[in-house]
Amino acid sequence: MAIVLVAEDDPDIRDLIVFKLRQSGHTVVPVGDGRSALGKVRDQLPDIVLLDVMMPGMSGIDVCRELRRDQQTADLPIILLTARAQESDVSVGLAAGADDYIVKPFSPRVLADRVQSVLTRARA
Amino acid sequence: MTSVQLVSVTLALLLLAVSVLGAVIVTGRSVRRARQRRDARLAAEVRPLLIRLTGGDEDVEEVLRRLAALDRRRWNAVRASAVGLLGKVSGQGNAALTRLFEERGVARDAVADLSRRGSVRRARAATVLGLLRHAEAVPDLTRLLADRHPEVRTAAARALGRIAEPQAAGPLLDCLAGGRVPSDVVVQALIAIGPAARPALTKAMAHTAPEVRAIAAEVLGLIGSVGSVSALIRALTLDPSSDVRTRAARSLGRLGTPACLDALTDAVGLTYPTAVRAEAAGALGDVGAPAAVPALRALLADHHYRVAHHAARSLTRLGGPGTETLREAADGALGVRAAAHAREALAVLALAEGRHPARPAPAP
Repeated sequence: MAIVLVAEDDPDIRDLIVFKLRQSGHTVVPVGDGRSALGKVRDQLPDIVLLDVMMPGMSGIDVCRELRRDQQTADLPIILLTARAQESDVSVGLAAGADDYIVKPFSPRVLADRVQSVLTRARA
Repeated sequence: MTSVQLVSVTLALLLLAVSVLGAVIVTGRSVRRARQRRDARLAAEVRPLLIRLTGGDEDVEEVLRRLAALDRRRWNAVRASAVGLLGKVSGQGNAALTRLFEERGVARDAVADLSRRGSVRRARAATVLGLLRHAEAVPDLTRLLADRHPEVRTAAARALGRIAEPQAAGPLLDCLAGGRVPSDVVVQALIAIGPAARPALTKAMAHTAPEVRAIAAEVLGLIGSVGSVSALIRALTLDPSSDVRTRAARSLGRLGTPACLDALTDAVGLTYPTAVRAEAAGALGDVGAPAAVPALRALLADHHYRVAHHAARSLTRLGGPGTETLREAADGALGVRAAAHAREALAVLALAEGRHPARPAPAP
């Protein structure tokens, strides 16, 4: 099982993700904005990061770029979560260094499976 | 009563009125704060159940029963969260929330709210019915497309898109005339209806309002309606509106049949308006057929920047023959203007492929 950092500004969605990932046996560190996410990642070095794209202050894509620039977190598995399903947005997210992309509306079960899948790939 | 007494009485009354008003404001604020605190406390109590219902895979029956039996105050405290989750969650979580809403009679209440006086309430009810995909509400939602408040009309159009019943396609297209609903909202709703919207879209190609014909032409391409190629070619060649013709060109590029290729090759000719020629040049790249190379090659030296630019970009998408033509043009075989467009297109292609663009040869 893994330490998952979840950055999502919508408290309902954040709590839902936390619930689902804890149900899957993970330890979850929830935060509500991009800057807190960066701080927590550097403090706690999670195994995987789940970032909402549209967050106040610093977007998930900006956080992703920052993490990829830092040598300590450059290889950290990152999944982006967003309501924007446009192909170009997916490309921007993946170009920023994300390992996977989940579009809202999402199935909580599929989200937990995708987290597990990215973790398995990263550990292989 | 003397004037001094009159002033004193007036001042006293004024002071009293100000004091009463102040007391009303302070009491109102206190009551509102107390209500917010109470709602927050109730929400904190009930939200974990809502999260369990939405995120649980199995055995949600007990949670569902408890949420369905909540008293009105507790339900109202988490209602907004439940509606928000309904729009952001799919799969079993969405199904469980929909069942909860059905058991609490939310759809029935929302249908009743569609006729309320307050526009916010009508818009909110339309949103909820859309999230619940409540097909029985389609006639009422269609009626709201003519609501006097724009936010209600937009919410109704979005809801109709979520419900995706084909009967809504015609009214959605009609409300484009005069800009009653933003066109992007209508386009999304029509795409959600998909191929079932084709009869209404084909009919709309003969609408008197050009904005309706234009969106119909665009959506026919977006939903991949290959059976509409003839109607789109007719629009490309004959429609009096340049917007309709450019959108028809774009759709023909998306559909990409041999008939589309022929029509688009014709449409880059000088008898067509510049905007249509430029769009057709771009659409030939979408079709992706090397047979378009000669027509695009001839456009590289076009006097209109957009036409030549789109032609060059399209050539980058036609494989070896397209790239060869661009290299030839970049070397100056078709003139200075064509060389500039070809070099730019080749540089963009190199960057897209992760290569460094070749430096242009120094001017002689």
